Amino acid sequence: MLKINYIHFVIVLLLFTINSCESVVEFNAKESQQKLVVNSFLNANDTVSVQVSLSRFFLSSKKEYTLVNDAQVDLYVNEKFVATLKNWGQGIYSSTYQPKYGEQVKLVVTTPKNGTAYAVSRIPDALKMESAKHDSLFIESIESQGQDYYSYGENLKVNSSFVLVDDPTQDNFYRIRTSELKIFKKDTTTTVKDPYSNFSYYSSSMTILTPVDEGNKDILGSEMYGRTYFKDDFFKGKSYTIKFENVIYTGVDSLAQKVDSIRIETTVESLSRDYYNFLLTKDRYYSESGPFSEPVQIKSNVVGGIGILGTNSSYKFSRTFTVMPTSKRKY
Amino acid sequence: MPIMSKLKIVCFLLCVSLSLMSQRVTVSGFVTDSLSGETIISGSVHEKTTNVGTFTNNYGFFSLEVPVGKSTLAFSYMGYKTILIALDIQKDSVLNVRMVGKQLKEVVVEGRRDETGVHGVHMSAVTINVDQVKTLPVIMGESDVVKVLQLLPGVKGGTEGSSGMYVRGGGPDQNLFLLDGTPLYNVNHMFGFFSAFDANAIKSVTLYKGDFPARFGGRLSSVVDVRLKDGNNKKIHGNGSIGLVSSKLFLEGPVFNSNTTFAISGRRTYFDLLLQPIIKSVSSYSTGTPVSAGYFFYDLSGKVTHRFSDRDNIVFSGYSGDDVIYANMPVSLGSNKMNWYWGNMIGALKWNHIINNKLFVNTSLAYTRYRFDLAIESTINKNLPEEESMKLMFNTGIHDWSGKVDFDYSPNHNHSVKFGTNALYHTFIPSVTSFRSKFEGTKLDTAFGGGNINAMEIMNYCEDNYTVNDRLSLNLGLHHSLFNVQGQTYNNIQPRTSLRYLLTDNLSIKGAYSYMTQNIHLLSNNNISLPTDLWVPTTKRIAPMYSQQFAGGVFYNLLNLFDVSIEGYYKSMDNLLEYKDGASFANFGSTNTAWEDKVVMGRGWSYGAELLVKKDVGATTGWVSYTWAKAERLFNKPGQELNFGNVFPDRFDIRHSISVVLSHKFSETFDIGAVWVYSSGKAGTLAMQNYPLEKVQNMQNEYSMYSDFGQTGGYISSRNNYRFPEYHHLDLSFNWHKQKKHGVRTWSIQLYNVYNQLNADYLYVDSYNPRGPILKKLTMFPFIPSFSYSFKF
Repeated sequence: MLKINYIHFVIVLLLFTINSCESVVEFNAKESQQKLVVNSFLNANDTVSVQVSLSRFFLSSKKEYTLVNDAQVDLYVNEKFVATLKNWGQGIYSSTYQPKYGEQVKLVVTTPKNGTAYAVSRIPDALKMESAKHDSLFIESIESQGQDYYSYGENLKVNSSFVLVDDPTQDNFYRIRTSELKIFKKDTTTTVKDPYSNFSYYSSSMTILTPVDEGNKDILGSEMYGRTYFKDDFFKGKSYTIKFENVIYTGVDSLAQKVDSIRIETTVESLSRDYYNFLLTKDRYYSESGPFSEPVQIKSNVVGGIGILGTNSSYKFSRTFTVMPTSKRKY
Repeated sequence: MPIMSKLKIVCFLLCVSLSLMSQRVTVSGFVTDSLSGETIISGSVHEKTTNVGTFTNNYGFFSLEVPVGKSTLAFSYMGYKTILIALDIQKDSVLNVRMVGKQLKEVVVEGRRDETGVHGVHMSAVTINVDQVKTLPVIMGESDVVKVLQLLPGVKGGTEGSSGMYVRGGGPDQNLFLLDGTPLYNVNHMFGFFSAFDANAIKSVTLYKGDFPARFGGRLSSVVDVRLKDGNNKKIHGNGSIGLVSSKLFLEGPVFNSNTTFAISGRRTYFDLLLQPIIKSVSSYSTGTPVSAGYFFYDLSGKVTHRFSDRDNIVFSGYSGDDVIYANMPVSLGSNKMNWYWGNMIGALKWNHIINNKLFVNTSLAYTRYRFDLAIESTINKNLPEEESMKLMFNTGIHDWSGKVDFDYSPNHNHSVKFGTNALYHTFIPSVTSFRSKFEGTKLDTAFGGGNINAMEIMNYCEDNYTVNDRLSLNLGLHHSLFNVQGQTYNNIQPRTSLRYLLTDNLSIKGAYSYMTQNIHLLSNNNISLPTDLWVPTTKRIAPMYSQQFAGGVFYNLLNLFDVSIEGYYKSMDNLLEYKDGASFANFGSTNTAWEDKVVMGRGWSYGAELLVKKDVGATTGWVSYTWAKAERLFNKPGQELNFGNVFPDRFDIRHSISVVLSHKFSETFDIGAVWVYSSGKAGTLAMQNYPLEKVQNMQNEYSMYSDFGQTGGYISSRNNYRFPEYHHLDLSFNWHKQKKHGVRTWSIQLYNVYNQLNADYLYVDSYNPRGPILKKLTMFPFIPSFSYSFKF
């Protein structure tokens, strides 16, 4: 009993000490004004849509964002007025206009209460590819065991390559994404339900295999969440071969018994500079914010507000692999 | 007599007298304390009639040219009676002087001069009175010279209670700490709450923060020159203390005779010993297994000095200090252990030799080691014939071997020249992780991480303290550094210059220019001193940092009691290193990149004005200081942008700082100390708005409001966009001394943060508050009373 009392005393003393050092900081909300948020992601030859909302004070107890439906959103292309976007509710505005490669797009958002914001971006030119292919697929069994868990599954290892022709007249920014689609057997006898069945999702990791100079290490290999971003700093204006490997965790074991085929699709995108920086900083914001690191600033190109007008042009290539029995799992 | 003959006689007499006047001899020798025999550093030696003078060097040696015949030399030093010695000498002579300390309340200030005051040529430098340090209030009774340095204008501490230093807009790695001339890398204990310097073992501390003499190099922002006591050559003395956190002991005295002396000191904390029973009880109670765990730090330093003759002595000094965290948790068939060490070790051998009465040389060989070793070991089954175990180790550190030769040359009364060379061989271990395992008969032994980086650094310097006339003095110097690493050689010539113009005997103006380079960097995420901060060198990719600093000031001695100075400075810094957004020493994200890929280089600048009113004599001593400062950073090189290439304030861009430091001796038995500090808020980064990062992809799909898993982000208008609340606290100490049979014992009571100001050391958002999120501050040091017992014999 004496022992327990002594421990309780120490704990109470520690709690008292810690609590006595905590206090509330009076924060003047006026130090940070609410911002108009404009988000729009435009592909060449696709319709224009924008979402307009308001930022939320970081100490606000509100759970949702205020979506702005009373704004006027004007679209300018190559500095000429094209259309006023129609509001569809939920802060969404769109137009049927489809911007072309190389066009400069400007969105001007005017609100009755929150002022005006605008953003400008140029749709990147069409990507030029000399070749693009998925070379091989390999299924790898994985097994891991910890103190409190046991997991088993299979990874897909996909090796791919493409030859990119870089535009010499400007700085270019690229992104590679790979996704997979499992085609399940129609008459499967297994009772296991795969939560990811017929669901396309991004590669879980991506490794660039193209040899790079020591000094160019940070140009290729800015890999986040299986997506890789890179600039053309060291192959500017040249044809450049990029080989890469995706490792995709399938969440399924005995894949060959359950799956007929797997479709691998890779998207290579040419991004505007601001969009590239937005995506890079956004991924870093989520993946690298540790307790000891500086907070990550997410890139915005919206003047008078925050958000992003991101533009890109994309090139897709795919291949369907037939899944073979375990003994022949090399494709 | 014809007029021409008269003229010839006058000319002859004039020539004779000029010739006699120009005939000079050199007086040289050592200045020591009369009671302990300790050499006195930077003591003033001043010839009264010609008004020329010099200062003793770091070994108490002086050399001064005086006229043949009668002259009067004045020896003065802070805390000692001025000694006037009448001489009538015809040839070069040796004069060893023993100075006598002042009694309480005795204000004898005649001819008082010091190297950093009105008469000294250097500015932006302060010598700390170590005895006063011991009377000032400190957290948990631990006297700390670094914390006293933080109270000087232009110097800011890091987080409250920490021993970090940010000098004139510089970073914590830009301070060169020299322990008896040997660099010390990690000057912190207990995550920065204590410094590695034991005040009992220290003879002098001088801070240079702007006007750097050419003999110093290797850091951009400051030099802290700490000199340890040599040891009493008369009899054995000592002192010690017992505090809440640690106990320490210092002993000094002669070995066999007065030609050989020793000084040793040791300190250890005993948190771990005190908390051990609690940890064991709590762990037994909660898990059923008694865990042995704890933290402590220790310092050990020693110095042996042997005097072979009037011209030669040899000094061996050593220091070792480590912080240690340990844990041992028994499990069913084995155990889990962790041992974590970080700290410094220094060994130095020095030979002082007087070549002639104008030329003094010090030759030294030194070894410095900084280590950070973490080992986690798990013994899975110790009952098997071959024990099954796993061991994970993380190591980083630096090993330096150095050889140095420094000359002091006094060719005549107008010049005092210092020159020398220093060669260092560095081995950097940026970070190595190794893993060993023995499991089911399989052995694995692997290591990964950055390899060692070896570098050779050579520094050469020459400086001349040139007394142009009674009013104008100059210090002209050049420092050259060569750094060879990975086949790349960086050469830098660094001019240093300062001047002093004496307007009256009590008033002078000074100016200085310093060009500095730095070849090593500290990668740090925090404003606290974590042991995980990595020391890394300049490499092929990472260029050396360099700075230029311009400073000017007015110095006034008021009533021979107060030293008043007003200084202004502008400092630019280039190739500063910072972690990229989101990066840290640990890889929390999906990437596993080398340290060079995690950092970016940029530049910074700072400017400000500093006022210091200081009183070193009398019963009441101390200073009042005020600093106005601004420090900014710009990282806008392509691919190396921070804050999107825009200017942002430095974390310690603190606009206003005030320090009031006072000690008062009421009697031989009682004195008090008081410190009050105020500063406007430091900067930090805070995302003050949240916003959606994605928009609806399918407008018809009403349930996918925000696609891509509904990502939202924090909006940060700029790096370091938020100002912390202002910071201030008052600390008091009361010291009672009593003469006992074998010495003096002192009881001290320290009251830290007397009015319990809850300063914001850390901020965080409490999202679980029922009334909505609130911003909270964590105060590490509210009102903290402590006491200590010390004795001196």
